[in-house]
Amino acid sequence: MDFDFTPDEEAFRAELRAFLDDELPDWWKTVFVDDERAMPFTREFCHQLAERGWLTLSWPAEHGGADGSVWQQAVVREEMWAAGEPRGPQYMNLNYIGPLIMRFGTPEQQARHLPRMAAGDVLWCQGFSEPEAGSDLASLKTRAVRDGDHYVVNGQKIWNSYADAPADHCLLLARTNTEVKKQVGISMFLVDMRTPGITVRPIPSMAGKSEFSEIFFDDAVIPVSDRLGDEDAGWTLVGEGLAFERIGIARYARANRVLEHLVQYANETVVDGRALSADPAIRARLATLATRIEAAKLLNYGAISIQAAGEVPAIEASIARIHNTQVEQLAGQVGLEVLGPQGLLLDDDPYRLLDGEMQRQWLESIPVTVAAGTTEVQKNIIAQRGLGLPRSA
Amino acid sequence: MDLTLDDDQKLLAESARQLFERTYTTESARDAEEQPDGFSVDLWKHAVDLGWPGIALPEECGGAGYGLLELAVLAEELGRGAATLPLLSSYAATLPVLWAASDSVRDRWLAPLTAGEAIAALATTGARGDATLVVTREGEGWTVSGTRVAVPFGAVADVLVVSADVDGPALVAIAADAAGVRCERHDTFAPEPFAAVTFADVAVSPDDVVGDAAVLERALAHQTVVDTAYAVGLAGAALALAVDHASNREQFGRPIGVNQAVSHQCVDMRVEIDAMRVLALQAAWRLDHHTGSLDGDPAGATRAVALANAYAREVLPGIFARAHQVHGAIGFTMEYDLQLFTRRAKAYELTGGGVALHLERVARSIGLD
Repeated sequence: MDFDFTPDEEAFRAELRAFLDDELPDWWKTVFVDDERAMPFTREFCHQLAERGWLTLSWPAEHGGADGSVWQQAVVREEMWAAGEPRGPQYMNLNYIGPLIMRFGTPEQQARHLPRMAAGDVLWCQGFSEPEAGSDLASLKTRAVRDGDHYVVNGQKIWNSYADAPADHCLLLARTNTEVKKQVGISMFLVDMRTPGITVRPIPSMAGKSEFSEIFFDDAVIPVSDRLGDEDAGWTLVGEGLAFERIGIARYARANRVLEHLVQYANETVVDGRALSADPAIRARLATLATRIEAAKLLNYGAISIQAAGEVPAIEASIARIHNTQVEQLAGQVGLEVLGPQGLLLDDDPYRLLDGEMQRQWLESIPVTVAAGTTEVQKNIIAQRGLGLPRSA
Repeated sequence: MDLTLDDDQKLLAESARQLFERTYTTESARDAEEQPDGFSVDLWKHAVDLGWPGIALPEECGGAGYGLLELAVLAEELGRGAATLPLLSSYAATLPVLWAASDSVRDRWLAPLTAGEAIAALATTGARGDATLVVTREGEGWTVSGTRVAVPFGAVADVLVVSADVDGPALVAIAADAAGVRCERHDTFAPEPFAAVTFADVAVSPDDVVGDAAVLERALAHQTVVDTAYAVGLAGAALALAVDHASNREQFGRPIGVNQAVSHQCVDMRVEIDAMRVLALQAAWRLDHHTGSLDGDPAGATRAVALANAYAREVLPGIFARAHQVHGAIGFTMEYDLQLFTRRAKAYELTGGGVALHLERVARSIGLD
């Protein structure tokens, strides 16, 4: 066992931090704020990363990457997520959409999409969930009907993050076969979002205007050459993609940044003549948060260790994901407890505390135990495949 | 970074697990509780033959030269087997002798303790939380009087490592057969044979001093980390029983485990046990990589130990509450095995410092003034 990063990895982290200090403007908070400068900034920022070879660090050299190790990739994820993910939507390209295309794409698809991802030029969204297909994703109804060299797509997708960014492409799941078991009749597509017949409608959320959208498909014509993998084989690809994604966000790293800010706040704040940090209840609460952050971090490292050994950490990744999503919520919860009512004030209020960070953390973390597979779905996976319990009724 | 066990560590865990599954089963754990000293002398002999008492002690004194990490890996299997042995507590009490004892104390105790021919016990807990012993100057040395409670395996210990204020906070080694020492087993629901130890004008020489407050602190760090690893095993055994029960117990014509209200309780246990384990292993690894003075903390060991100990004590009551809930009435019976683990887990939770103490250590380690 080894619980430390190597000196080289630590040096890389320091370099990355210095870069973030230089590049992130004072107004930058996260991509999820109603600040029209945010999304264009993420594009510019990704160009900067690409120039330094850090955007696709973990990709193989043949696809424009640097053959970086999974641990270098972990360092990138930690520093980026802690800094409000200035790569914006593009982290998805790097974590799993790109790797899916490398694995299942045709040479033409690879040549068309991967260089643009590697250059930081392209935004993708994901078209999976539907109004009637959430946890039961395989029951999705959006239809792709084959007609010669193209498919005609009709249906509705929902909860699509970044679709209104606007996204350039969509990783779409649609039903190509209604005659077989629901999981079998699904195909995956690499859809150009400028295709006629595609309409995006943003859904205002508790965290702001730009969180997610609906996507409508009305006789949208998609070339057969934009299908990823075989026809009716899309469900297998989903399994692969989501396995990469469960440990793809270093949520503990942001929770840890929040904790650091809270510790500093507690040390510097005097309430009724006593430092907030001297309040045993506050100390215990922050200590509990610290234990949960460490647990989430080490479980992620454990799953990555299995990945590094060439195995698939299916159960371990689900367990790590449960810890990571819950710790992001706990960070927001504890953060607002420490700040009290003044913690509710938004970024532009002159009396705001910690730049409005805690209300943002609390709001943004509400859906993290729901998005990309609810905690309950993860628990079903662990129950059946990890513990060998009988299938749910 | 690599959080996987190496082949030797996996083999150690696997062979210990098989020993408890095949030979020293929970039946043996039940028998052990009926033994006069509260543990199986036969199992202890077996452990001694396998070299377990010296596994994490240096080769110079007869040990195997492995680290705390290996002892933690082994401790988890002891917990899973509901084994009650003076192994972990005697190891921790041996450390001050190894690190800070005079030649005479080392010569007398270190080799027999490493070989498992003698048993040591840390005696640091005072009744009602008052750890004061009366120390009186007597020529070159002192006499000490007072009481220690909850001393692990105190009734069978050959040497007691006692915290006492002799020219400042210190540890002193006192032979259990020294004049004025009396050890008496407590009567408790916890299977571990704790004892009360009373000292009546026991003579202590300057040669008997085996360290200061920093030595005690570091020895307790080792003790609490292997105890936490042991608790991981206890919790793992409770989970295995719960999963087995949920898979086989039928109500309404189907196994109760098909209900998410039941299966998710098992999952919640697993989710927390995995975290307990990796935190405990990190703490052991960081203590192994802690080099230099006992006061400094270059490897981040102090923080890692506090995190592991605090987290385990925070989640363990919930893990066992769920185990009992999944089992229904059968889990509360003495006939069924769950009680073996539940009682040990409560003893773990309360000894070695409670949850509040470890959370406060975490609070300090994250920079709260």
